[in-house]
Amino acid sequence: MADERPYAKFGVLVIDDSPVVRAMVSRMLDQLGFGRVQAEADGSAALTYLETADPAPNLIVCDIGMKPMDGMKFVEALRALPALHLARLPVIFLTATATDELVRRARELNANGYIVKPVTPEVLALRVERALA
Amino acid sequence: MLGSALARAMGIADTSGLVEEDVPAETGPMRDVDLDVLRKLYGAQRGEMAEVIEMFLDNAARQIATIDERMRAGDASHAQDVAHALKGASHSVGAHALGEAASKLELELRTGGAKPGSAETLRVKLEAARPVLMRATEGQ
Repeated sequence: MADERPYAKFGVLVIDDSPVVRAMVSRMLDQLGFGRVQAEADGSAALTYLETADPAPNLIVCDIGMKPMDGMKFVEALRALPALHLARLPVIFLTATATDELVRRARELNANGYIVKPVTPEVLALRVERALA
Repeated sequence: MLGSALARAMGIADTSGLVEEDVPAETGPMRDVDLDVLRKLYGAQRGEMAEVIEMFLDNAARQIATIDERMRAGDASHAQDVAHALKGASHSVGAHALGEAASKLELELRTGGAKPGSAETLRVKLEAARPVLMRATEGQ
């Protein structure tokens, strides 16, 4: 019998340096029905994952304040990748800070959402739906 | 639009509805510890909830120790980064009083207004949240 969950064939990559946030956001996305949920701790680890991810994720949920590579630098690098199916992936920023400068940068990087922590399952579901529409 | 309301409140020009924050339907003071999100996520699966809560409590204690140590060493930048991380994790599990204290300290560290011993406030908030979070794993 076919899986009728809307995101059953979709994969999502969660990037956050907090293991607590990674676990909770991964759980939310799992409950939304994503078939594959991968979590990485910073931008450089995420880029390494994307090099070999097959199939590639369909969506990225990304923190901003991380080391060694923060979320803004990660999305900059992502958008510059020669593989267009990766470069054009929808990105939702999930961060504890929203300043004019960060929101402006997020917009310049064609982010599909900017959620201020703490996130609830309802808000994440709304943004995921919009990002994948 | 929710995002636009937040953007206006924060002074952000959000013409495209990019920013989103969960705004409680009921207004009122934020609870020191709010278990709603944890309960929604884990329901009756207490074991998995306990793992996340234990991970949070262990990490938070280490983060507070690091903040204290870095402040004593005069490394406000590193202490600020750790306070920021503590803020995000605390609010995520619903430990809002600790998250607010971390947020206040993060701002003080950024503006040079942090006082020696500020980490003690974080310890007090963490120890106040601990029994509430632990009871949640027992289904109370």
